[in-house]
Amino acid sequence: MNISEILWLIPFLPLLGFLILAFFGKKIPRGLVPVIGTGVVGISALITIVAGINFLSNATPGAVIEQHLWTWFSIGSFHSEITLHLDALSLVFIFVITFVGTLIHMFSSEYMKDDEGYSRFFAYMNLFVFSMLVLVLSNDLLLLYLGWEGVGLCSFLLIGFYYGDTKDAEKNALAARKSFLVTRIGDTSMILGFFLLVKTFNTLNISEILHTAPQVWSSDSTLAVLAAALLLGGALGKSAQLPLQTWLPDAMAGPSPVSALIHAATMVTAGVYLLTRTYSLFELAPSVQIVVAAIGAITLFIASCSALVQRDIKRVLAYSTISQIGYMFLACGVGAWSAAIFHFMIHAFFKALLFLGAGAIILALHHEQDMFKMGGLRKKLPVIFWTFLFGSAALASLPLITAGFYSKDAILWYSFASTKGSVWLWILGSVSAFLTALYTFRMVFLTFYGDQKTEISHYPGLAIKIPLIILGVLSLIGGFIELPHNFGHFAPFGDFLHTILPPAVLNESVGVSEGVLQLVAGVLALLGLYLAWNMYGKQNATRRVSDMPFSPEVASFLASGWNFDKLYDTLFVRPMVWLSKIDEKDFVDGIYRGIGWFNLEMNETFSRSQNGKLRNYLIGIGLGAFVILTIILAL
Amino acid sequence: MVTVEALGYIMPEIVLAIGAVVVMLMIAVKRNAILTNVATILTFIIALFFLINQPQQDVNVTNLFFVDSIGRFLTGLILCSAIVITIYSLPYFKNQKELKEEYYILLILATLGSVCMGISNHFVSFVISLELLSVSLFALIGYLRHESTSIEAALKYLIMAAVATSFILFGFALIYTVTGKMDLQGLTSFSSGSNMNFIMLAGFAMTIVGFGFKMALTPFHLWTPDIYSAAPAPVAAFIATISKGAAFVFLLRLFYNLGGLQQESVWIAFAAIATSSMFIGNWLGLRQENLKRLIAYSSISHLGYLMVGFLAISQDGIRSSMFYLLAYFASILAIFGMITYFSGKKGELIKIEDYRGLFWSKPWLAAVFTVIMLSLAGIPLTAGFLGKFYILTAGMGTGKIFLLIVLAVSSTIGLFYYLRVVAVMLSREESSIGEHIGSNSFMLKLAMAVLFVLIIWLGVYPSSFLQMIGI
Repeated sequence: MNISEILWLIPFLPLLGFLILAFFGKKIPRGLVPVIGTGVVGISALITIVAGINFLSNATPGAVIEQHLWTWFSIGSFHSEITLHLDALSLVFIFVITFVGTLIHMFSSEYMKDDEGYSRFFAYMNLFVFSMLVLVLSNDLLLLYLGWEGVGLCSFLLIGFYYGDTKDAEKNALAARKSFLVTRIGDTSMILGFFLLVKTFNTLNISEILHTAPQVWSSDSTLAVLAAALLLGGALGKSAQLPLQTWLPDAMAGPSPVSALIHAATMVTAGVYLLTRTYSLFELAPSVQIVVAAIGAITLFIASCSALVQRDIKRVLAYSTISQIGYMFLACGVGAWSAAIFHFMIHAFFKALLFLGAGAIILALHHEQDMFKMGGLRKKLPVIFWTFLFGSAALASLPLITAGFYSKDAILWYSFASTKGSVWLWILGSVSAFLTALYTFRMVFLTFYGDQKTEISHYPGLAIKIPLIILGVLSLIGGFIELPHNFGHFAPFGDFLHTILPPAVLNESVGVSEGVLQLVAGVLALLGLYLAWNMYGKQNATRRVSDMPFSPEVASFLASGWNFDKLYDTLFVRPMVWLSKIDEKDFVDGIYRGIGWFNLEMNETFSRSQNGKLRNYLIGIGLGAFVILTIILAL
Repeated sequence: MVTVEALGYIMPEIVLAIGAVVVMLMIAVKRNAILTNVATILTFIIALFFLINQPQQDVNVTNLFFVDSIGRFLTGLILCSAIVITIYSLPYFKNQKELKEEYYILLILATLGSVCMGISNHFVSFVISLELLSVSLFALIGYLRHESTSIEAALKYLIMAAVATSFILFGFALIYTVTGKMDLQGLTSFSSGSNMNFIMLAGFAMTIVGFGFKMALTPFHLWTPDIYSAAPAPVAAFIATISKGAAFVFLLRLFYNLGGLQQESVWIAFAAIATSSMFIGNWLGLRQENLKRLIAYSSISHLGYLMVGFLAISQDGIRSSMFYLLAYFASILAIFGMITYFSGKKGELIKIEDYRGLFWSKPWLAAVFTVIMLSLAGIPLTAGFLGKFYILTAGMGTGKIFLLIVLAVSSTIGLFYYLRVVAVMLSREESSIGEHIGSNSFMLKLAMAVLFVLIIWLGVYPSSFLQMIGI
């Protein structure tokens, strides 16, 4: 079977699922809805795996498989092609999207079972998977943008999924709106970046742009920096990085599977994808790359501090997602592209697992999300406990046994040893790694240890357990496909990606060996675990009641995500509202009102000519003839 | 001389002529609306079959006709549209008291006239075709003779069409006075020089008036809303699409061959007509409550857009105009299909208000309706968008920026009333519209579904059609 002929099926099937569910959702029996919704994504995943095996066994290094579907339009030398483009990078992404996507769909079939909008949910989810696949499979800026906006739309629809008569309906709608508006700031920046690229290179083709850019732009030239910075803006919005990170914690208003799929595993990493896909532009703009690294490092630190003091289990995970994507940005910033993608994949496994686990707990506890009202679930929900523990271990990157350790370690090492790295980046990364271990196990101990405080109302079935187990196993062993250099050279993942992405350039004069840094990282993670055990885990732990030893001001400052919402409110929203209030009656409105008035007047004037009288109509023809004769003969 | 081989190129027209006679004889033997309808559709399909099997070359069939790729494209477009209109006619007339069968003879004859206009190469053949079309149309417009509005509209059209034709004849006569030629190729050889004298220009002006009326460009547009709203919906669809398209193609041949557009003043006259059509058409639509009148105003502005492609005076201009015709035909036919669908014993449902809440009772229909409106408004991913886009590109190629600005601004005005229809359909209110469904004709629904797919298809994957009209 030729992959280049079946590639289109991968995005098409979820689209088909969406169309079926959207148009016939009400007529399809309820039992069939998850079969369709999950089935289409599952078949996509199977095709992806077949395509992947085929790709790995046949392809020469750096190979690209393209399937040209059609030309949308073509004007002179300017074409917009609908072409699917499969290379090492997009292969990793489509694998994660379809595979993890299938598991999450399966989970949802039980999780959303009693919800009124069952088919609506699966329709949106399928549409999301389709858009995300288009986003990573396109080789055309326009098509990529279609996918980019498509996932944004689905994110909006799914965050506000519970819009009906529930008590939180208004809050959910506001959260959906916020996420849409905040990411829109980034999108605007990105589309400007696209315009700049199209203007300069006169093509929409991404590979062509990446190929030509180094020949046209010199390193750190103004346009190169501008283009990279504008694209970065888009990535920051989508991936919830500083300063556009404020939407993600609120986005937790959506159902848990949505958080797992969109706000952990796939969509929020679209920013990382964008950076990596256009890496040659960033290599041309070292100054922007420094900014990428700095933003990543600061974001991951800020977010992990905030995660420390959350009470809502999903908000802990939300902040943790922001901080883990911060690691990916850090990796991109120091030129360790493949390390970023590796962490993306591992993160998709364990964070999807954690969100699904949290969802299962919330479902079991009657939609209780406050961790301080949980506890003692270890014995009652053993499968959830163990898988959640695996996921947490990976998130906390406990040394040697978890996948998270291998992926995070690589990033920390490059942040220190790469020519673009610095000791400061490493310190921020390492301190946050410690904080990560601490907040992760705080969450585990609060939820599963101690006394049970809420009755369990729903025990998970197979559709919930199977995805958890598969993801749990992957969170542990997924890391072994890419071992650190000093563990002997076994890095098929990195080698695979390095066929299209440049490896990070290491600083020759690094004083410290990789082993020492690994040791430090390992010790920090274990220290976090130990502290968490002391504070929350062991019998009679006092912090189960009083929480972190911060003063109330600090605690509320951290809990609110460093008060960014308030800051933006004061800096932008209020002045804007104030300004528009006092400026309500300026002449600008008058212009637009004037346009409307003018057109309506015109409507009135000409309507009078339509009075149904034949003689008037004939006069019209006569007058017209007169005017045209005059124009033609007199000019 | 007419050779048998050359006759092969006008087989579609011959088939139509024979078809009209056959249908007439059929009626004489036995009256049956369904049978007549099927025979009419078969006639069009056979004509289409002969058209498709023609060799793709430019051929003169006597001095009167010239079959080339534009002509073939237009003939195909007209025949397909005629099939759609015939399909509409059966459910539409089912609830009327009139005898239904003779209608189809007139429909075939009107189609024959339009097709012949599109391939005419000579003033004489054009005028005869035009009259064949016009006379059939008087009868078609007034077909529901028990309704006074219908008769009134037919009379209005009769008088005004006669005036317009006399302008055309006068113009042709003046051109003939100067050139001594009546066939387009003969005129081409004449026009190469700068010998455009006063009489010749006056001839141009007169023909422009006549064509302006046929295509309902301002200031000759005043008849359209009255005729559209009084004529039966399928007939109105015919006037809005086929008769305008045929007139446009001959106008294109005439002025491209004669080089009239190179004459600055002629170009300006056309530009003035196009500009005023775009603006006035859209203005008139703004507060319109009657759907058929709204379509009339919309079509005025659309023909204005079409003139922008015409005025580009280039191959791109021709190609974009042809694509625009296709997109326009599809959208307009689809919307008349909608009106036909909602025309039952209680008459047509033509107030926009009547469609309030349609989305909540008939979501599929409302979706189709919405897409048609978006296509007419020129929103991306519909045929209408790409049509406008190609027109703009063609205009851009010749640097005639002014008309492009007018096109963009006036489309924005038009957006208001197209979206208003969508908004009315979406408003959440109980709707009793279901009672107005005339007949649940499967063929009607099928035709609308095909048009719907076509509108989306043209908007998303136009290259296949572009190749077809790669003139």
